Amino acid sequence: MSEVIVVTSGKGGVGKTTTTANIGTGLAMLGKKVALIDTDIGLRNLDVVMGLENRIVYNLVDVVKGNCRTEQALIKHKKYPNLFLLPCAQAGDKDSVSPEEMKKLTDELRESFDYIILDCPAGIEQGFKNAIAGADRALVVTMPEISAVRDADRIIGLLEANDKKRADLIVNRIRMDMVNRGDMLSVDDVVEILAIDLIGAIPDDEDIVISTNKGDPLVGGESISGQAYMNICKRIMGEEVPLLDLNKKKSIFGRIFSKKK
Amino acid sequence: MRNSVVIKGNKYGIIVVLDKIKDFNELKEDITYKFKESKDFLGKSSFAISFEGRDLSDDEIKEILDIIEENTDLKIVCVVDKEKEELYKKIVEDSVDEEDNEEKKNEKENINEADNNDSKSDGINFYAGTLRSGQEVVNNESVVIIGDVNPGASVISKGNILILGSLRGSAIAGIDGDTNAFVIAMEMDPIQIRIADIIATANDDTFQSAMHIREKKKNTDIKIAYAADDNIFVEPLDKAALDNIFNNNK
Repeated sequence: MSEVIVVTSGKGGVGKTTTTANIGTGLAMLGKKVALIDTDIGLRNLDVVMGLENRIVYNLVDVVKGNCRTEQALIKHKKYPNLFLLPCAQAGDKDSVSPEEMKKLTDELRESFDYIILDCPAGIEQGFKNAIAGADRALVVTMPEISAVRDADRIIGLLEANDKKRADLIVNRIRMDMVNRGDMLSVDDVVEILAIDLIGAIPDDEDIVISTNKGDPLVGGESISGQAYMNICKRIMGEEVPLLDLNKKKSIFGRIFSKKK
Repeated sequence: MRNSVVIKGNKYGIIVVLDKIKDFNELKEDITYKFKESKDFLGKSSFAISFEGRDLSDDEIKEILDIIEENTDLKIVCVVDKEKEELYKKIVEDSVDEEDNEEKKNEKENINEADNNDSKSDGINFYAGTLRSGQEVVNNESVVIIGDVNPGASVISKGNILILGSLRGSAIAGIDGDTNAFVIAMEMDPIQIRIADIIATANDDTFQSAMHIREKKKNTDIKIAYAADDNIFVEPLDKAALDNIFNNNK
């Protein structure tokens, strides 16, 4: 039984692509066969974050338009043989594919993958409509900032209107020091407004910037965000994993870090 | 023959119109037949029910309710007595936690269509669920929202607005100029409230510190916003405030 998951947020820059890369990699590490699809046509970057940019030959538009077979466009990850990426085209725009074509593609991929994860572009226009067309469930990524929460709320409303019954929340880029000072919304505040299930909370972590630049997702690593992403993967698979205490773990992480020094 | 029982729907639930003179036992058979026939159409909703056309004793009402329960998937929440006051009706209606299917459809059409003022509805309109940013409920009559109204969402009504949840977005009551209209919310934290053509905006300080949402929630009572002397007042909903409303609406 395979699942098609769309990672979406409304607002840009909250970490959709990073989340897609880490969750996809994490699920592959847990032994699942995973296909990642970048739907942000014209602003391709999931391949960069995954470190697979140099291997692109065909892309999403080629597949949809029948210029190549789907298998030809799927790029196998260098480390994880059951992780694949379908990059999007850098030329063209969101209108190059239609929601019907996307649905056909995801349904085709269901036959050979456990999870198909779609990286949705920012905004609520054509790109968003394409990305959600074939999805069974959504991961709504937001960060503890009023504008990001507002956009996430809009997105959840649109998902509901499109009969996407299941949407789970990821609160990204939390800075516990700011939350503790009362300068940032807490995870609970965000959940209070958005009123959907929380599937994970990720701290704002320098390691994410480093891993993104290296093209090597940090999921499953020692860092607290690596652990948080791995927990989300387990929850997606239906396991019950308690939420990390971001305050506490920070100090443990601090200790590990100081030992290394 | 079968016309001795007619099932009608209204905004509150269903009305069963019964023949005045027919023998009650025969009537029961007709009721059984009628509801069996309509089972699929009526679905699984919760309803308030009222009877018309015939005076029924309590025992007779109970028998009829048993028949309905046996033959359909309906949940009868309460029996509405037509004789009782409008106020009583309203309270009863508030306890109906699900609107009937037809209403749902109407409400859905109203969402996101700010210009749709043509719906010919009377009474109270229910909307169940969180109203999210960008969503609007527009209605000619009073509206009950069962859920939160989030920032960026708005409820617009020619009548009153009752929110069984948090009002964090905008509420516009009495949009056609009814200054007696009011807005009630379990938690009053709006960006804007308008009653008729009077506008009240959120205090700039509280608006900027949109933090600590849950803390705010802890220490709030049910509040009412009403218009008086070209101003909008927000007060806890106590008995005095209620008396005031009912006097105004008489």
